[in-house]
Amino acid sequence: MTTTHFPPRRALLSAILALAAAGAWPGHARADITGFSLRSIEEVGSDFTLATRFGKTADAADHFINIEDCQAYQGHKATFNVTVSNLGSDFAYGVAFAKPGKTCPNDHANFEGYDTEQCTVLVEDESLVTNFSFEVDLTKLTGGDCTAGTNSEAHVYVVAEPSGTSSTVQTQRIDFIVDLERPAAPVLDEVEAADRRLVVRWTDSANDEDGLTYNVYYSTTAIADDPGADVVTKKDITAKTYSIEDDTLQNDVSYHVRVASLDDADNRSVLSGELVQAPKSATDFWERYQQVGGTEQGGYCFVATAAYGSPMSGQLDLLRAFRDQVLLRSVPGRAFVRQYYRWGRFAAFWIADRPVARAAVRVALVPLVWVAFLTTRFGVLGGFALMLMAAAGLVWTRRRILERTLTALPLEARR
Amino acid sequence: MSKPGYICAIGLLTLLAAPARAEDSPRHMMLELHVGPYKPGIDDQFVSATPYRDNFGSSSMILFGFHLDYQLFQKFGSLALGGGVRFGTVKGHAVDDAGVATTDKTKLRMMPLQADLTYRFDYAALQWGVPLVPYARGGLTYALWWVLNGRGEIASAYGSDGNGHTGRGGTWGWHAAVGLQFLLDWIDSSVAREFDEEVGVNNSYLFAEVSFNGLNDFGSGDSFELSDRTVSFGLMFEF
Repeated sequence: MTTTHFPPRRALLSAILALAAAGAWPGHARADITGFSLRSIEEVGSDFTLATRFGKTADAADHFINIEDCQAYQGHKATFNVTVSNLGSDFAYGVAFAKPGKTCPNDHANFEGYDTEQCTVLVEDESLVTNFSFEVDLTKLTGGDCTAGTNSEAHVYVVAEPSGTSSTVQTQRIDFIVDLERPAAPVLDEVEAADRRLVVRWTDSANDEDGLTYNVYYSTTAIADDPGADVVTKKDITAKTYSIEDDTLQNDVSYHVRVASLDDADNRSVLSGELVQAPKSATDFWERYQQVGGTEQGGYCFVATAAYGSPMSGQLDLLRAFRDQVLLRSVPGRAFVRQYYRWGRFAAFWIADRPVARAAVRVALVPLVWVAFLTTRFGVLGGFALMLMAAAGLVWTRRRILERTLTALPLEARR
Repeated sequence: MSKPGYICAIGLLTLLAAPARAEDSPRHMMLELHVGPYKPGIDDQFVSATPYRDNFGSSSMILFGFHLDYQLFQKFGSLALGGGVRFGTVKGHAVDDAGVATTDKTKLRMMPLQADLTYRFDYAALQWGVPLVPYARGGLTYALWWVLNGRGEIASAYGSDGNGHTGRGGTWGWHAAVGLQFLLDWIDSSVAREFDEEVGVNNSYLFAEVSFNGLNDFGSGDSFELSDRTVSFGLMFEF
């Protein structure tokens, strides 16, 4: 006697649901709901907060739930606020959601009979309105077991079904990535001491997923597996080397360092092992130069001085020498100096608090500084002779350029 | 090669030189692309201290850049007024109290800006086909420089005057150079003619140049001594 084994009902249902999820459920053809928008997702109650990665805002493209969120959301609900703007009132709608890794049928607004452990039905066959809301049990949406280590998707379905058969059933699926799998911890290889810096290097051969980032933790005391508020955290590091360069970092003070990896759902690995290192003083070239008695003080002059706002003491010295050695030795020069001291102070007062005007004046003073340089260095006659020669050179150069340009032009075009 | 050997070689080149070139398009400008080592003589301003060597060892920076000239005169050779800019970095390590190199890096960067006159004796090259053009150049330099510490920031330090000083500035000076250009057109004149017809470049040269750079704010005792005597190489296009 042979025995025929029928598949168990639950397996059959799962197969049907899988077919439905794949769009093979018999009935109407399906499409995304036109004019659908998820306006917002809000916490029900005030004793928990949905993380930003949950995708609470209207324009959120991704929805993530990680281990930390899973734990925080247990026993809570969220309200989904939805708008369907382009469908008429001859549509009925239904809402359901499936736990991670499961699916709901998605081509009928009437979910009757499909409210199971895998699929929770929230709304069945109601007349479609433009704006509506529904509450999702977050314990069910996360799967309930935050230590399961699973990494799969949960889905929320909104189905709009026409009353007749002429139109198409429209289904909107909102996917939540429920990532309850921690990445592996990186291996902290080295913490190198530098001048008010620590260079941290680690390797990570266990994780190969995309979007992985790292946190570097440091503190003057040992760092616990769950770092406290006294531990400084450097986040969003994509390389496997990081230079800690905080101004608070002190040479010859020992710092404890650990590293953790984070996946794209912000799940953090356990922390790496700990290394201790103290930044050490080092003398760069400029410090060394000054240390051995170098006299260069840095800074620019002329236009650069004006632009960078450094003092132009050298130029002022030249102008003072010009006043004393050239101007004060002649009657017109003394008259000029007298008038300058009478009126110049007002101009100086006016530009004192105006950086742009100060810069402009400094640029305007450049020719005078050159005159001062030439006349104080080569005497009044020598200085002016040099200036005349320079002017003659410029005129000659200009004439040569004009001649060359005109030669290249046809006669008709030279007028 | 001995001195008579060089003379013979140049003579042979002259004999082999191509005949005078046919009419070229007008030429007014010269563009040079330079590269060459540069080692500022900062340690020369100290009697016994060697801050440059302490941090950079015997390293030189590689200065590269360009120089653009406008030819004012083209009768017997050419006289050109021009300007150029170069840039270079020398990298080293910060040192600890014992003078031993640490893992911290330090850098000195220089950007000399030049304005000068250049005389090139290109008469022989253009009239008789001798492919060598000697030239001389002289002018003013304003060298911008800055020092970076291990964090990659502009370094700062307290000076002997007790004040803090930021490691960046500019130093005035002069430069003079002599060089020799080799006319590449001499190797393949048909390619050179195509280059002239299609792009407007009359002559292309390879050159080597010896330059003398006095960069210390004209002898100021309060300035960096950035002077050096060096060699640079490059390509020059006349158009």
